[in-house]
Amino acid sequence: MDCLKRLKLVHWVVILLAFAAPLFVKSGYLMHILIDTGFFIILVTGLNIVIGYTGALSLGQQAFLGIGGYTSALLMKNYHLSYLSCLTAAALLAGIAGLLIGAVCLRLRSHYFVIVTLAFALIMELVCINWVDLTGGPMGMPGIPSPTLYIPGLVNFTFQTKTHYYYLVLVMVFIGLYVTYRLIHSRIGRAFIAIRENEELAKSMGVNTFGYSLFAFVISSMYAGVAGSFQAHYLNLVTPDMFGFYSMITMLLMIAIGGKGTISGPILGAIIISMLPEFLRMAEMYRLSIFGFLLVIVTLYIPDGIIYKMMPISNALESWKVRLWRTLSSNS
Amino acid sequence: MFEQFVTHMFNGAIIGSAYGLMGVGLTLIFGLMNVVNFAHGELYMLGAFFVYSLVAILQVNYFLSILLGMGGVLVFGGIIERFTIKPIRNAPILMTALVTIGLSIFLKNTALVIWGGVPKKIPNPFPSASLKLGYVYVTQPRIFALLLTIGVVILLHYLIKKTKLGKAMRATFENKDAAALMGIRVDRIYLYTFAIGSVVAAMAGILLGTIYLVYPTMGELAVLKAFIIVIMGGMGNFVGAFFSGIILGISESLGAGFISTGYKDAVGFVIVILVLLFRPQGLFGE
Amino acid sequence: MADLELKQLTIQFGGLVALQDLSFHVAEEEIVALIGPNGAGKTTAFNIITGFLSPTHGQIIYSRENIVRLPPHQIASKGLFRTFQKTNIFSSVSVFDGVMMGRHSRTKGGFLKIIFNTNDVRMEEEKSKEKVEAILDFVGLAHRKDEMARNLPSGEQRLLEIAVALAGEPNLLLLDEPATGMNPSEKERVMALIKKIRSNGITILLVEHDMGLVMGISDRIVVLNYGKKIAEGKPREIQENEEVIRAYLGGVG
Repeated sequence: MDCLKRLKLVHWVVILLAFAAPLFVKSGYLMHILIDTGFFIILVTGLNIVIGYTGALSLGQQAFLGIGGYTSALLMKNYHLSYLSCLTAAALLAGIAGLLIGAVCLRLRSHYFVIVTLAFALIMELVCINWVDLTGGPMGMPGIPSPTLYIPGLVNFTFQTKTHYYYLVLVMVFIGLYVTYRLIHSRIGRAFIAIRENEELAKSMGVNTFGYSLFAFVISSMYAGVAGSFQAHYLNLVTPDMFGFYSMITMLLMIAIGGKGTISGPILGAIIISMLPEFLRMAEMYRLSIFGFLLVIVTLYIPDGIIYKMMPISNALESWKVRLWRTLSSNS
Repeated sequence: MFEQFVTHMFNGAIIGSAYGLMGVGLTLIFGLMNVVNFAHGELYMLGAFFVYSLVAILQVNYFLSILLGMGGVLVFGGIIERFTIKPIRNAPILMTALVTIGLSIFLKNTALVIWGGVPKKIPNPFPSASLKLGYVYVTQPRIFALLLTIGVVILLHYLIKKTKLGKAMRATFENKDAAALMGIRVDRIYLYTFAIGSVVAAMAGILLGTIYLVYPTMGELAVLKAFIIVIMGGMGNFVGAFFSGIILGISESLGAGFISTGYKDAVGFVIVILVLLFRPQGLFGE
Repeated sequence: MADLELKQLTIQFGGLVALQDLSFHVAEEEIVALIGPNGAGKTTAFNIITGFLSPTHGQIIYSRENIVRLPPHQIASKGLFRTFQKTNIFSSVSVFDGVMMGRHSRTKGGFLKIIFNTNDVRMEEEKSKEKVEAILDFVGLAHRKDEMARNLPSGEQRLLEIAVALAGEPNLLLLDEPATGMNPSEKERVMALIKKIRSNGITILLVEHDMGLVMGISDRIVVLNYGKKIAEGKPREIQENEEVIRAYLGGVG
């Protein structure tokens, strides 16, 4: 597979560490952080397609997160469908919501787009809190069953321990990243970037800018749906917080700090922001103040994100690896 | 029933006038300067907290505190503009949104740390007895708020249309390069506009803080409604924003009274979506 | 291989009639220049032809199809491409990637095929890359292919614009003031390039102020003034046309 050849040393190290993590991470709390990071990676990789690649600031991703989570939860709890069905339904419903909301919002210019995406998300939050019969209201719905893998005669497996969930989210992360990778390095990805860089020129080149922007929006919302479904069955709980402002801010911060417009950027952002509370445990009270402050500083002084600062390191390691390879093979 | 209706209308109008004030302040910043300032609500909140601190803690006279509080936010707004808005003035909207969201979170949480989350009341010299006006009971703070709001709107309208500063502002927002060539100090104009917009927000906060309560997250919903009002009013139209605020206040009040309180806040969101789809120049725009 | 015919094209903005009953024909593989004083309506005509503006009435027949009021991206996918008066490029990507973007309408891969990286998607990518290399050679920007577009000097940015338009394999190319911001030697280059493009079977309609260039490469010239066509013909005829001379020297109502 050609994409494997494109991976650099740094990527391989991270992948290896990711797969081996449960071997040396024994603390349940730390595992939770890793799982949480995985969840966020799926979420922001999706959001980055809209913000980083088509250049549209959507403040509504949390709506699709919530829709995915609640759909999955309700289907499994009330209809006892298999996990895969619930997951698929969550992604589909989130995608349909993305289609409807996107079709409305994307007609509007950037300033208005930002506000209207936020408005839709807030409406969804209010619906979630108030439609108590369906959603359980402000307290949410506890008792969401854990995912099971059931192939009659072969496998009957319920995800229970943190390690199980870790590998589940890891698989989802890899699939999500692979799909994004293929998408970005294709004519569709180029269309996205064209829309971001110069919409007028994109149109005059034959890019249906509305259609592709909508497509990006829908894909992004489906990623959120998948993430929502995962979280619902991992925490065995869904709450209206999924629809909340804090969700959205976390995502934005991850994309801004990590670096929008690249695939690795949001991953780095997700890792940093997920680990941050660990370091800030002392200053729990000040956590949000620090978040806010960081967001301001990063946007002003590191607008392309930390990932660009990492590139020289990655490149240096890469050439070191190449030289090492050459020395080793010439000596044999 | 009719009494209920009128009471709702009237209370809605009062709240609406405070919304209108928020909208008017944001009209300067979002409608004219095109800055998507998500931190606007925190300036509203800070105005209220400054006055609260002055009156309740330092025992300063209420009206004097209002002036001092406004002055404080004036300076604060100016500092924010200089250090966080100006550097990204020409950057894509994404940057401005991110920075102001960051500011907003920072200010909200820091206010929480400093003053605590328990809602506070601003002690005020108005007697607590209500007056009866026709069908409705109204308290003096509310009348004060309404009068002050109307006064500010008239003042701003006059400022923009008749004064030299107003002319300079309009020229800058229409074409900043041409304005600069004409000798207008564009940087100063942006600074003043932002500062004035912030002070107007602060005043709305002070008024609502006097009528109701002051708490660190009071700016959250308020700012969203302010954006809605600016859009409804036609992006740069003060009078339009003011009346849109009243309309929003009344719609919410009626919605809460006759349909359901839970969805009250959704009214504004639905309105803005409809306006942008069917009348994007706003209800009062050209 | 394409021809273009404008029939009674009219557009009115409020009280101002920007174009009045504009009609002319560009035959296959012709180079026609649209000239006229500033504000005559030339770029407006371009914007209508390429779908960025809707005319009040009139028709635009492109290869026997009336394309009036179609959205820009659909018109482009039929092989009608343009460049802009003010340099319009994808500034933050490399020259190569920018031209690759122009391949969009000539490639087909859908979402599923892309995810599974099917053979035809891969072959399409390869073919596009080859075409882009060829185009960069053709316009003379091959040595710049990895540089970021915004770092190119303005003359080369104009060439890049043409390269991006060529990537779409146009049948009809609209060039809006291609020589703006160029020094004499760059203008020579552009003139030669335009002739080369035409000899590859592409019909060309251009707007240009530089009379040397216009007279040098046009088969025919159409002259606009205040939204109306005042003359049409071969370069020699236009040079000697009194009304045209008066229009340029001003004072004609």
